[in-house]
Amino acid sequence: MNNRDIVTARLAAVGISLSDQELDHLAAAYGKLQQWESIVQKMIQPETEPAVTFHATVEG
Amino acid sequence: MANTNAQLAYLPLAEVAKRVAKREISPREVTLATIDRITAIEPKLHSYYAILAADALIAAEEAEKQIHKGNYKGPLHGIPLAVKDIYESGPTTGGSKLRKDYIARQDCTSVKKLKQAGGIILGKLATYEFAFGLPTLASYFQPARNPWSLDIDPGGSSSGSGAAVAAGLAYGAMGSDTGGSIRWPAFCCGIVGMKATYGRVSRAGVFPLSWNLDHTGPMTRTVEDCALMLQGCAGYDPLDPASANEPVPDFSAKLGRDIKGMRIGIPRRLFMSNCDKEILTSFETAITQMTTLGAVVTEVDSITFEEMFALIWPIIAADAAAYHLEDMKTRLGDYNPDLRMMLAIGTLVSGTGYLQAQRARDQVRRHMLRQLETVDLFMMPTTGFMPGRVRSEPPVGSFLTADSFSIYTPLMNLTGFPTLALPCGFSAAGLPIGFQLASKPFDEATVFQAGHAYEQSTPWHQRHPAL
Repeated sequence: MNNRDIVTARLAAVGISLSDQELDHLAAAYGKLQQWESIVQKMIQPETEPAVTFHATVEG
Repeated sequence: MANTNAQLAYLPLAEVAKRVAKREISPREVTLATIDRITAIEPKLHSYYAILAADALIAAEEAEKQIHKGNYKGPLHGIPLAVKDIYESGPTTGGSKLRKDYIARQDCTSVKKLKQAGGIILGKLATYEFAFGLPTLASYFQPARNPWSLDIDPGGSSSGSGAAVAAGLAYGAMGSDTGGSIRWPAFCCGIVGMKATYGRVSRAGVFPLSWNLDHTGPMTRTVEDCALMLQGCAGYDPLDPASANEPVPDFSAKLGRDIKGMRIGIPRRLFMSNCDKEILTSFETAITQMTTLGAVVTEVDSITFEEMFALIWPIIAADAAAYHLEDMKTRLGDYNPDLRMMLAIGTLVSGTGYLQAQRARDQVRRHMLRQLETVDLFMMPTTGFMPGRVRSEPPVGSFLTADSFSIYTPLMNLTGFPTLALPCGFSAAGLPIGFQLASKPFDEATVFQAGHAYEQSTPWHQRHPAL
């Protein structure tokens, strides 16, 4: 499925329909969302979170 | 009419308050003068959706009686104020056709508090639709105009708050700030805006945009006025689940103190890639001024602009879509095209994407809290672009995905730290430029101290638009 098909299906699942022109814009915006998710994924630093800092403290 | 009362209209709130307290001028006189000025200027500014003149005059007369009896309540007593039209109080539209006939049954907490402090509520101010969607000339509600140049956008989403305060149509106004909606219009209109610490000012009875990121706060023409107005609206409110049960200090306590030795960190990595040269030049001059005043300025590490956008917009869009979902199913056509698109984007944010953004956000916040052990304040430009013309057509797609929307305010919505926006110059075209100061949670007083020291050493707050 391309972005436009994904967007159309996702909107239909929550009961929303948009014009063809709006769907074109939204398909581009969906690409941006995916870029953002990728950027955020790279920002995550698990070593700063409690599960890891606990072990670092207890195990040294 | 506008010229005859401009001198009174542009006095700082603090100065009018002194005159009211000394009974040199009455609340009724100030309120009438402000209403006259609104009547003269508003047809070209479009900053008010509703002018509550009759109620305001009744309140002004009551304030006058109380002051005559010796029951002076403090600096807001008898002072004309206004609120963004997402604050429930009388007619409350949210700038949307969907709520065009909605009348609030009672005042929201902030309006109640301002009235209890003696404030006179003049009316309801223009907003981007539900504090998110850009209005255009074709929108159901006319977009507010920038008093420095009527063809220019006053910024948003607290567009009417910025325009009205800058134009002398209120001595202070309440705005809201989810990604910068107090600070961006403060930049565009050349005024001061305080996004207080998350939880400091109640949001009960304010239309939400993002439960996670919504802040409320005052917009005024001077730093001292901003501290006085925050004093009137801050405090714990059990009706807002995010309200902080923290003591409310005297926000004016440090005004007038010098800032010698104050440590200011510049998160340059955030704004270096896309800040307009004119804005950057004014900002660098402001840094020099802070140094002249005795501050110790250093560079601090930061996330990038791209990382900040990647964190905040999925959260705002998803939260907004969750709030609006039922109306989206049945009345989608009643939203402005821009908001319709952004809400639709919000439905596409994945659950894991949303939670990863919250996870990374918490890491950024904890990192910046650690930085605040080595600096007292962060200082950065408010935005990296000058406002454009009021739009006649909706943007293609959404402004969130436009490369030109280089705004640096969202970082402090992610952290929740108290942040003050204030003017630091003018562009060659005569439009205001400004910057932000932020500090640790619940330390608004230090932010006001530094902002006041800067403001009082520069002339920017003494300039007003010619209307």
